[in-house]
Amino acid sequence: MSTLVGTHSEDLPEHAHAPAHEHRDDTAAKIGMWLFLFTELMLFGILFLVYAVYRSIYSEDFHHAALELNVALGSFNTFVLLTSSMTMAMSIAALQKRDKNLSMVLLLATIVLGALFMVNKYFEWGAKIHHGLYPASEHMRTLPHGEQLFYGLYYTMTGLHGLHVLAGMGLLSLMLYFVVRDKIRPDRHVMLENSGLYWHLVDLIWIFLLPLFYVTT
Amino acid sequence: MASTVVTHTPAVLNYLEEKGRHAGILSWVLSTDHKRIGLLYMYTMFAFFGVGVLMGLILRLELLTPGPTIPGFTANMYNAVFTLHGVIMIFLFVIPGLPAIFGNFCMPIMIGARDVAFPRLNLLSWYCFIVGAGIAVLALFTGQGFPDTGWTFYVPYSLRTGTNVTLGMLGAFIIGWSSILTGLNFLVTIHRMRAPGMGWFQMPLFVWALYATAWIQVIATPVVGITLALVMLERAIDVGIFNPALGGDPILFQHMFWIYSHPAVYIMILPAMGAISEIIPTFAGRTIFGYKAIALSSLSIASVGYLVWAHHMFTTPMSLAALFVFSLLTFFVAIPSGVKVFNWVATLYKGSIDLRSPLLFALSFIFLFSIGGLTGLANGALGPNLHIHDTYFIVGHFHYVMFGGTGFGLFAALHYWFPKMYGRMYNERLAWYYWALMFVGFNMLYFSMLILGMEGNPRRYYDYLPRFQTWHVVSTVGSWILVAGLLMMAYNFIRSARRGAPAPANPWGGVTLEWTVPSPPPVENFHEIPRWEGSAYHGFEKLQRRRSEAQ
Amino acid sequence: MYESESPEHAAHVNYGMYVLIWIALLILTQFTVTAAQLHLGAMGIIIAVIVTPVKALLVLYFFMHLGYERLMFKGMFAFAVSTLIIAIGFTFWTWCSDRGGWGRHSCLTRGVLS
Repeated sequence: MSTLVGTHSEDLPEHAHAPAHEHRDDTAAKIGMWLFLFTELMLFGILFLVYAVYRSIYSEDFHHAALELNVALGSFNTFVLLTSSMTMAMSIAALQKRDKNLSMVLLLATIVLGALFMVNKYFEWGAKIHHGLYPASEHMRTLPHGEQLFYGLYYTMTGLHGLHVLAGMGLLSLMLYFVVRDKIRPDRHVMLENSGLYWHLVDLIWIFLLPLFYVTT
Repeated sequence: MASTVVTHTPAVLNYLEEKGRHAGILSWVLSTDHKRIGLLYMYTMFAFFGVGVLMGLILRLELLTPGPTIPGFTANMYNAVFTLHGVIMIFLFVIPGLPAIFGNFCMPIMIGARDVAFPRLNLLSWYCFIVGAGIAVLALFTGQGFPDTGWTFYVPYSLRTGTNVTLGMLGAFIIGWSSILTGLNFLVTIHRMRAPGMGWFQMPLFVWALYATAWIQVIATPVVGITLALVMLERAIDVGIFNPALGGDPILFQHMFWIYSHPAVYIMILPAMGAISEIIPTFAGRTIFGYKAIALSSLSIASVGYLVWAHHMFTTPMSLAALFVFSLLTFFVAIPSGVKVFNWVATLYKGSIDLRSPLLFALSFIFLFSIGGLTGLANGALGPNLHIHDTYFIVGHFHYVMFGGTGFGLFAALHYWFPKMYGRMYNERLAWYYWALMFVGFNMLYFSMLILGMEGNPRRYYDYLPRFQTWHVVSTVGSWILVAGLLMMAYNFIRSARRGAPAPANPWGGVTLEWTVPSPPPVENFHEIPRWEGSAYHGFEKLQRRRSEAQ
Repeated sequence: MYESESPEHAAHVNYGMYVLIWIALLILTQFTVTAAQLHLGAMGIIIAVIVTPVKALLVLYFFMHLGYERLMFKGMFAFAVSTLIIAIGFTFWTWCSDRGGWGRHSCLTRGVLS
């Protein structure tokens, strides 16, 4: 399996002979990015624990509260994010195939889809808040504990995820600039690949959030 | 491209002289040199350590007599001061600990690299540390003062108290980033930048310890990050997750807190164990006994250490089965720790022991850590735990591990690598004097606490029953002796950094790579990247052979 | 097949493959949503519990190229994920073991399958 990847057939670094100033190790950058993704994974993963614990105590309330969420909107947002993941992966492939224009278009599409996701999120949250469903609201205080916790978790987890989407959009915009300026080129694109990894992770987390909140019935 | 090999002039400046692009203090705070960053960490961490020690002194003085002792020092102030003492010592001293100072300074040299994998990220992690610390300091002087929750920030009290819990937590949160980034950097460095020929089982044991530690830093720290973030969120907008009044479960907070904070104990102790594994062979003049066992025990401590967190919570609702499993796993951690201790002792056996201050501190590490570890087993056993839960026994236990272990390990490392860092020797005779003071003072200070705990004196109380006073007096007097030793040590190092006798490249006869470069090391460590052959400590094998031939 | 000597392994991944994965992900999503709407009870949730990790694996393996990386990446990923699963599972078990333990209406089944 490991030989599929290519030149690095063993784990020992081969760049060590090169002078320090020409030091560039794409594999190192990629390991670093994956390690960073692990921290994100733990960050969200532990929230799943919180969710499971409260769902086990308040299963009826969770059930009931989840019915309030808009499945269509949640599914549509899933569609948006999955599509953006595809365009992201294609953008990297396009760059590697030396098609700079296509790469830029696909990258831009990814950012626009991210924005579309956030716009949907804005309307979704807006509707909830309009109905008085937000933490510590008067209406919220009249609900059973389990429903309050459901919405608390809903806002916490989708909010944290939304922050990551925003961060990803910022990151990808920077990458777009780099591609335009030829700082990212077919022969040095690890930055774009790493940003792509981050974007896919954001997608990955959403894949888990969807069944937790929207399709529990 | 390939022909443009950068050649260094032979007389290359050392890292203390070479200023780079900036002058004065900027040449330090903007430097991406791993050695300078190591020293930056050292200066800031010792500054915080000084504050933490001062807080500890105040606490001990207050406890000299039952009832109020220091005029004007209220019970609320006592609560804030022990929280501050804990937060500073844990988050700003022992958690960054040896990796931040000696990991940064020595690790790249020890594996034959010119720097860490991501030098700028390394500087960023120091800035995270400083910003986080600054925010925690801000919590002292704004609002209603520093949190009075203890460093564990247990809910629901931390949700209700009017003190500056949010700011204190935000500080800890950002310091967590510093820890994650350092761990990430070290993992990549160790994976990718070892000298040609240096396989995994040819790395020095300190590097192994850093590797295991770095995994905990990367994987465990985000858990406490999100936990603190949830409490901050709870305080800000009442989401209800930890608030029993809204249906939340405070016990869940304890689980999440200790899922990080127990592995964090190994972030603190493993690098110290690694440093001891370097010092002991050097001063025994022979190769380490059981290299692989020590290397792998670091990994197994790191992994089993993930699975024992609930032993901090034996008095919360938990089934007998869970209690039993967590107690058993806690006992399992003692095995790899024991493996290390026996291997160190076996290394000394029939060695040619050169008893100098680094070894002196390393030997006291073994003694003090053993007490800390064995009292830990008393805590981990279900029956005794109920008796000593939340008493001074716990305080004594973790100070034996954190201070007697990590602290003395750090001092041992400092005595060992100081000549390399500054190119100067310190006063060896003075080191023996203050070692004696510290060792005696330490045991008076903390062994009394073990006894107090057995007798039932609860921890974190401003006041105590008069019958406990004898041991409290012994403990407080011990704190004075210990601090006298610490001050002498500070004097020795500050003076020697400027005026000590010049140190040779290899003052102790070490065989790892950092002793092959001049003291202090040149800017990029190596003129030419060395090629490594043989085992990690093969230099001693030659030495031993020569010694046995001479006999 | 990917040429084993080329470092630009991802260049050989063609667009068609990404589109296929994307379609598969959409179908799986629709499958979960429909299953939930049919009110199959626990069955709908079991489907979600199985399908969601499959979707995650598709993203990881193809979009994130984990499938083409060398063993070290996979090992690291497996280590991180298993730590997470152990932390979640172990805590949940500890927490539940004092609240009814196993069985049909236990804390564990309620937490996952309700």
